[in-house]
Amino acid sequence: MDVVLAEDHSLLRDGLTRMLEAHDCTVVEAVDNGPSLAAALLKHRPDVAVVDIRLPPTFKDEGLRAAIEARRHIPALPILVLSQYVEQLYARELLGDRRGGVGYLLKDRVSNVTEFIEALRRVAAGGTAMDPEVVASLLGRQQNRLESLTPREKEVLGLMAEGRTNAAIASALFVTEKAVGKHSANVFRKLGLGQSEDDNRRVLAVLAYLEDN
Amino acid sequence: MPANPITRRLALPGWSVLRFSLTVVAAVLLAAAIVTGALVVFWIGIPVAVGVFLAIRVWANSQRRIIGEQLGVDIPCPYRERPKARIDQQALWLIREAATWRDVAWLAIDATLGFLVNLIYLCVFGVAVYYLVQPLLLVTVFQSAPIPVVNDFGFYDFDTPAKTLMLVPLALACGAAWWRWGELFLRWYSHLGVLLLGPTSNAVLTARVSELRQSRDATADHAAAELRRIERDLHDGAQARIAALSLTLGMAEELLDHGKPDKAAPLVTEARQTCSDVLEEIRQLVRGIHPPVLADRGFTGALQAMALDHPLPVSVVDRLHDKLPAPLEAAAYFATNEVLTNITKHAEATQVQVIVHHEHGQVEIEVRDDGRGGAAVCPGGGLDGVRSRLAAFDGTLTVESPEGGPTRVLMTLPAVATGRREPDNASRVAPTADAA
Repeated sequence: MDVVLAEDHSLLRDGLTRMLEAHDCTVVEAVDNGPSLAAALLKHRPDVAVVDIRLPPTFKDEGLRAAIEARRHIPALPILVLSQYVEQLYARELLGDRRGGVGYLLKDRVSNVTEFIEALRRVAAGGTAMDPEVVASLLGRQQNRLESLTPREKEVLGLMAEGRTNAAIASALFVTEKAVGKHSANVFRKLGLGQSEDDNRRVLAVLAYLEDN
Repeated sequence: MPANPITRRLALPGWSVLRFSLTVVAAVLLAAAIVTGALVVFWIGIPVAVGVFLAIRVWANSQRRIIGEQLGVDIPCPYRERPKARIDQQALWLIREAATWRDVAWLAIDATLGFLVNLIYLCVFGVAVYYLVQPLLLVTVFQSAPIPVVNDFGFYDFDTPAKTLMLVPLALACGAAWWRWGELFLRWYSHLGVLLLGPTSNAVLTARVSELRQSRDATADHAAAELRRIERDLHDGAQARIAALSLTLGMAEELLDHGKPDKAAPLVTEARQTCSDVLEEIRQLVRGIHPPVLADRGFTGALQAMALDHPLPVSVVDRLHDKLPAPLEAAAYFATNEVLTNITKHAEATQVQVIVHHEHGQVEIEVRDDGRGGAAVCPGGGLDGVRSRLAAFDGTLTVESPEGGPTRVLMTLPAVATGRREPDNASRVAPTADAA
């Protein structure tokens, strides 16, 4: 899997490169600023890009802007954005084109290597990886509309919004995949969302529902 | 004073009569002041003088109101705040104050010049009205009455109704003069009053300096408290956790050295968890110092992010066209954030609206909610903190919150924009918070 990496701290850049290479990824280019990132994305068209949100020269949301701009040129280019803090506003902007293939995670999630690599693969496959913190704040503002859900169904909804598949949700909650299927069907029925077999479309529907005020 | 020039002119004689009668009061007060001034030589005069000065203040305040109303200006009270002290010290403070003596000067002017000015004005008006209607009255209602003596001008006696007609041109001339110059005349005199009754530029500056000193002290206190909080948070939080982390890793290292990787693994997992906790703590701390989204997107973006994170639906109307200077952005952000947090805690609202304007070098942030109202700025409360934060930038906070709601909090900050807002590529892709 070809990866373009953008991270301005050399220690973290090297660490990420090492970790990615250790998990069957080829880092085709590792850059340390916004303009080189934009150029590298267009040049290599990688399977997935791992991008730090704050990059030189402005040290603002350079990485996010470059990612969104690149996806305008190469639709659905898979991009996983890393940040020291998460904002719903930025999650919204990343998901703006409703195409999937986006991830938005806190930087320290990298420390859980297995989960991080799983999220990266999901994004590369056109899926979604939302940070639990973003999901929690999305769920937090929809309390009225989620009243009808049982606590278990809310848990399933949260994990689904993070972008996990039924199998992953099952292993996270220590239940069978069939049980997860039943819970998610209930969630979709209670929220009045159309059922879909496609994991990714299902996730996008959930995120759209949660974002919608 | 009415804005219409005709009704304004017609209302003026009434004002003039009022001020004319007040000049009589002024004359009495002036006489009292002179007499008590002489009496001060004997001790008994001192309390009387204080009483007279206080009476002059009451009179001067009524003058401020009347003149202010007439000219459509606000004449601020020039008196300094009365100190809490013994009676005799208060008396001394009263006598030392420059504004007291300026009041006395205006008293002398109003009792003499003011008397004349209003007398002339009213005479001209009276002559115009009287000689204009006199012929009419003499041939109708007062047919049998003798011709009034005011028609004997010495060099000629207009002693028949027909002859009084010859005085109509005089009335018309006076009327024209009254119409053309009467208002200007009174205004000129009133402006003289504004000069003496208003605060001197010195007094204005003194008040401003004391205001600035207060807000500077508050800012310094606030900054010191913030630094203490940050120091404490780092000391009790991140530093302590990192120390524990290094201990855990040390133990894991030892176990690995002794060839017990299975026992080291849980320690490493624990260390990783501690890392996440430390990062989370630092994140919270950074948000409190300067939220990253504010650095990235400025106040506008941070406001959108704030609206999205709020548990209630917050609609944002942002009419800010320019980027604000960085210190103001932070002040505006924290103030708005505090008000929004207050709403979550106390208001029991279902809808919140934030409106941001930038006009005439002033940023206005208005936060409305449909909650239960009754919000007030009480010392030490959240809104009081916002007020003092804004005061450091010459900003203000006003709260309208009747019992039962709705609540409207208006914050203003004087601001000179630093330039055009940067083009916002990323935010154009997504729906903005306006739709939220």
